[in-house]
Amino acid sequence: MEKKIDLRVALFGNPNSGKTTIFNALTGSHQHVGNWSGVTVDSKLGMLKGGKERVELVDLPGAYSLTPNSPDEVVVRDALMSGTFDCIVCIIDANNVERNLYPMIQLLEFSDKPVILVLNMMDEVESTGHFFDIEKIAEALRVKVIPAAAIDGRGIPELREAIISPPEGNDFKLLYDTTIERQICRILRLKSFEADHEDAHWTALKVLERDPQVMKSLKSKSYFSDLRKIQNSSDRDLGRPSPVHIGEYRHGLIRGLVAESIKHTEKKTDNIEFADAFDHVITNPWVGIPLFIVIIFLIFQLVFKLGTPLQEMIGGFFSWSSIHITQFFASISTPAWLTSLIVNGLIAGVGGVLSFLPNIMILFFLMSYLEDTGYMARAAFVMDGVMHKMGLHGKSFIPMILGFGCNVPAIMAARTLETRKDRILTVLVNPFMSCSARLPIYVLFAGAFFTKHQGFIVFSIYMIGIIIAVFSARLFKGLFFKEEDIPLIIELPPFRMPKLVNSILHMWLKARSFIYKAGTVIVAGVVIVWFLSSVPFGVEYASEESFLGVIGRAIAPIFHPAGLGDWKIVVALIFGIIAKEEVVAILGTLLPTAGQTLSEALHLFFTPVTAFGFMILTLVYTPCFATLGVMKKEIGLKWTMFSVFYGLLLGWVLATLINIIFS
Amino acid sequence: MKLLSDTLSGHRFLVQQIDGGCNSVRRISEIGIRCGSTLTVISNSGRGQIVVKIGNIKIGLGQGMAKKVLGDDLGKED
Repeated sequence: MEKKIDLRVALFGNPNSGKTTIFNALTGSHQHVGNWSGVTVDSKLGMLKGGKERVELVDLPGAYSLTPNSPDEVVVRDALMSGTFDCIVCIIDANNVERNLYPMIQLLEFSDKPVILVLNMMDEVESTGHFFDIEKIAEALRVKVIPAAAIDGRGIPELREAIISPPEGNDFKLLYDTTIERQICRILRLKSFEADHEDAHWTALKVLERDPQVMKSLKSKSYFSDLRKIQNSSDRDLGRPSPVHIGEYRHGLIRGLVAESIKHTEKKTDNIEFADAFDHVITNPWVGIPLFIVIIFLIFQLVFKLGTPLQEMIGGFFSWSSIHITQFFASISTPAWLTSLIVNGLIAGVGGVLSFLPNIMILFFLMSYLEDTGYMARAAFVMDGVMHKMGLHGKSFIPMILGFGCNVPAIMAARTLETRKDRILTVLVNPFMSCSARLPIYVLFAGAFFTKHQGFIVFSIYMIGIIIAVFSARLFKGLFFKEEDIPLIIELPPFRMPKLVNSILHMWLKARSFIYKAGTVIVAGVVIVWFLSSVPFGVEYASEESFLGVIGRAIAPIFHPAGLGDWKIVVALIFGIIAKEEVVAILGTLLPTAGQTLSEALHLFFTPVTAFGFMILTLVYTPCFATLGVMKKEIGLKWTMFSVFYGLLLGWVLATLINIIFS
Repeated sequence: MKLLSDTLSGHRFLVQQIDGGCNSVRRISEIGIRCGSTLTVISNSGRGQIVVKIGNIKIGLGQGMAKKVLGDDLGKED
């Protein structure tokens, strides 16, 4: 039964203002936090820790404004306008009060709910010799103000207290100059306008701001053409577009408030100039692009140099276990089918996948550490030119990089893109950014066939993925989308020394979900494969006569030109659509015979050329179910089906070409 | 007036005019670049991409965007 919620509270603010850090501190959750904007693109729910009251907290995506430019900002405004919150916590980065207050002023204009303003990152502000007159801000905006430094827990108890006993609803009103107010009155006088809207004054203001969502909702109204006329006459009277004028008016108010409430001391700021000089160098494409490639290369080298010995240890443990368990089962006369299920199925399959855990943990640790430094936004900026040449938007780079971890959150991150064209293109090419679930396949094959150059081979697979993404994006853009590009504007967050504990936590959460997946989806897949390879009863395990053998053999000829025509390989590929980790698990279940390691068994089924073709095929072909699900949600069934067939066809063509050319 | 894209690294720049449609003017001002604000060019690769600093905020402007911002080049920062 659902428990009653006493209070619902929203957390809202600019991107990268520390909302998720505060959300985690209040709820005890471990949502991913990153030092770049666009990490939170979906609302996250959690319950306030401690206290008797049941308080639900909603962490909204970051927004620069409540006039939405992209779907993640639409989520924010729709949520705040829904009126379902008892209190709204507005979190601002105190380093940049002027800009951060802008969406808050917009919020105060339309919401009468209680608002708590959290001035976050006060530690950084104070270290540069700035102090705020908290009372003055509270008085001017008529809200409760709490100074905080969420990263060290400062201000969190006060915020918790304020949430449990929220302040009064806000009665802040912003009066515009006479020209704007006159135009608002003209709109309000239009027949049935006031009756049509609950907050007619705010809607009229949004009409003058040419808010795309509001204008769309008014299109069918009889007075729509009158609204257009009023917009034009307002522009004429003001001598500039009304949205610019209204924005400037709000900014003017904020500037005045900031000038009155911020105090300076003479403290020197030493490291700012160094950070600027560093930015001057790394945001230059001639330095920045090679630097990015070197960093990614080093990450993969570390994944191997540090991960492989650990991976071999875990693999060794599972081999040792399977030998001893087989002996033990023989000694107690366990039925052959049970021994086969546990040894051939579970240990070979699930154990095979789990042995790659160290590689995956190292990859996530390094990516998380890099994200926290603030480097990623710079990499996105420096890649803007390349992305445009690809036919993508500069901001597409963020989902692309997240794709190295997992394509599911990466595809969701495409919501930060403003046009539907850019979102579809980014989502379609995202699966070519090789996710961590495919890493075990590459590690296994590179280890078995390219022992001396493992790191380089896997790095090259990732690079080929990027090249395929470039090629596909250009192709799709030329074929389906010919609209003009929107230029990139991206905030470059301050450089921060990452907290080791943050990266370790992120790594652990990813490891936990990997282990969980191995224990659920992979176990289920392996058991199904084991069962289908054992029926009809009496056939030799994993033989051509088994049920799975019959299915596999029916499909196998399709992959014959690629040199991958053995039915066992085809079965592994089919199960890889459930989850990519299944590929290694199924190969582990089907290929080795008694006493053989998987690596040895692979040599009987693959040559180095077909092994490379197989790696490329698993890189390119149909993404996993979870990715397809989120794809359908974000860009619709039609494009998802397109992605399925495109990936399959392209993967087959590439693997076949590799086989024909190099064999 | 001068284009922001033609302003050298290290120079200060007073924004006087932002060209483009309503949406792009709104986007750029919401992130922090507005008429009347003074910014410092941190890097200008000469290929259209430019990094500017306003107060504590650093903003990267992609190809095409820096050509829409016009104003006065105030020369090198002391």
